Amino acid sequence: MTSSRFLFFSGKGGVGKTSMAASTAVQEAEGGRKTLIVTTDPASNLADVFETEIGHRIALIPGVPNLWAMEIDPDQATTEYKEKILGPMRAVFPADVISVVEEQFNSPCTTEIAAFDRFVKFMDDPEYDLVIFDTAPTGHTIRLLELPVNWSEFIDLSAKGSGQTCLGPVQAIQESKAMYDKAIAELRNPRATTFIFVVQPEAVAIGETERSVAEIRQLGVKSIELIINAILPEEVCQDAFFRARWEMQQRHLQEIERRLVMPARRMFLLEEEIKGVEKLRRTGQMLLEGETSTPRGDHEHVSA
Amino acid sequence: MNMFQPEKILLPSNGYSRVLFFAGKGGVGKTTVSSVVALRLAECGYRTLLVTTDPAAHIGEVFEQPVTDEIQPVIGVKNLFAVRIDPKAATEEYKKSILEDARPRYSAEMLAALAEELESPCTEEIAAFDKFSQFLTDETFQVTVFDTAPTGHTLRLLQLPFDYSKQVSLMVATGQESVGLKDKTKARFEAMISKLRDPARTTFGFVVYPESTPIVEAHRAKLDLEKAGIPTQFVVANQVLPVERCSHPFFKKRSEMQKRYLAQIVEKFDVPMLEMPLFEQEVIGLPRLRQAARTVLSDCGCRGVN
Repeated sequence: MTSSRFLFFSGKGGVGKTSMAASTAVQEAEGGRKTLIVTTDPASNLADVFETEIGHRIALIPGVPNLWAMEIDPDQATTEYKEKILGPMRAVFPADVISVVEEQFNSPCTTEIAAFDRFVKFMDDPEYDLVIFDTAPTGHTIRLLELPVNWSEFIDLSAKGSGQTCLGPVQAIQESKAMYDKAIAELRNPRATTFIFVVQPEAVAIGETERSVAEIRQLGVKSIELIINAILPEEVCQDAFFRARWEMQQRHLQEIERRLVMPARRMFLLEEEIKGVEKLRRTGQMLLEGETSTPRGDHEHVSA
Repeated sequence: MNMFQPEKILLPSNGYSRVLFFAGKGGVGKTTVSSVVALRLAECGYRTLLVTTDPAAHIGEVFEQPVTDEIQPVIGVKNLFAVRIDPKAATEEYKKSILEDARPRYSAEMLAALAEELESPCTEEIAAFDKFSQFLTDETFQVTVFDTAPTGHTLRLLQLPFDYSKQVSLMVATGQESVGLKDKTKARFEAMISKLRDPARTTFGFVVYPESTPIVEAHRAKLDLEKAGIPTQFVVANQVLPVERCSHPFFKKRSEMQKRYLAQIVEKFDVPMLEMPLFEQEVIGLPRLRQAARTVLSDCGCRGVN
């Protein structure tokens, strides 16, 4: 389906990012690629979709060889992040200096940076053939992605100024800068990274996706694809109520073709929720076939 | 069975204003639900402000008119006002106010260091929260409806006041303490916390659609809120399929699945539930918003007093 090493699933909340990301993960892992699926969403649904405990550690998904998952816990990531910076300093600096640095970490955004730091680390890890990021909803995702750009500038600026940042002394984060710069280069390399926007044929989701795609393009990301999810199969829309909704969707599908010009796959609304490996496997298969966009008899519901 | 009593949940009481929060997973319809409720209360005669804290604000699309970071009347609806918390604009405003506050007391060198500190991306989060707290404590509206950001983010925003002293010391970056600023901030946050915890003044509602993941997520968030001393007062079950339309086996199966989840919501949340049906068309524009408002809140509880 893709040769990229990093797949980022994006799109408005509730459009089915987690289902699509998890189905893709199962498909790729079973195709033989060693795959990791990671979420930075503090309210992650990965465990619910895979029907297994995951949490803040790399966990093997039962029943799928080659597939691992992790839900980054913002609080634990923060503790790890602080220790990463403070650890080496403890050996060199007196206690009062350490406590000043600790004080600087007590900012509400340290959590954000720490989760981001964890996520960037996966982009630097040769362990997996494919890393899938089931990202947080759009606005938040974009802010996260803007961070490396901002941070690089911010670190440069602070190095010239007082030598202090709210991350701690400049020296301690020079290493992070190198890692962030590398992550940005990977994000912009179409052979390494693909963004997959999930959208539903409805007005608000189209508008938001259009804006997000523009912002992602502005950040220099070149490989962008689309999954159009939850399309009503025509043959089940016999009642006037659903026929009206089907017609509305058809108008929005044309709108998507006009406004979101990029490689697109279509996914139909299914009879049931996508939960558990078996349904993920079948959905992954349908997604592959979605490139020809033919509805199939075997319907299940696709949701977040 | 918990009865949904709008007069207890949605309306201002005892001379207090009422703050309503709609939380829930992305995509469940928080914007639609908060717009519908705000519109209904405004039409009942309450002076109502609709605030969006969602970085990708949809309110403008729902009302089909621009919603900016200045409070503006919604054209076509008496008593209804809307505003958007724009993180970028809030950040600029916040930086300016901090620097102006510091100017008379700080040396040029210290001001330069403070200005540098304020260039941190951390400032944006704090500034957005500062703005949010302004609307929360604004008493010029009888009802303020927050179309909140997705769950995790909302909780982080709400947890901030509990850490207020840390934030203030972060902002006073040169190590100089501004006692006045600290006390002022402390008093404002304390007022906010007690308002958030008072069910006569503040209502927390969760929006879900009747499926597993939104329920799991909302329930987790409900428990988190309880830890912060904030009770949840009701749940809105959105996108409920009209049973009489579900004759095809495909939709019949989906409708039955929904029915199981609706029962689960009632049992799990143990608060009143309000059902909002799936409509034939998307709820966009005033005529459809009005129609949805009358369907869902035929009785808004105001008894025509306003």
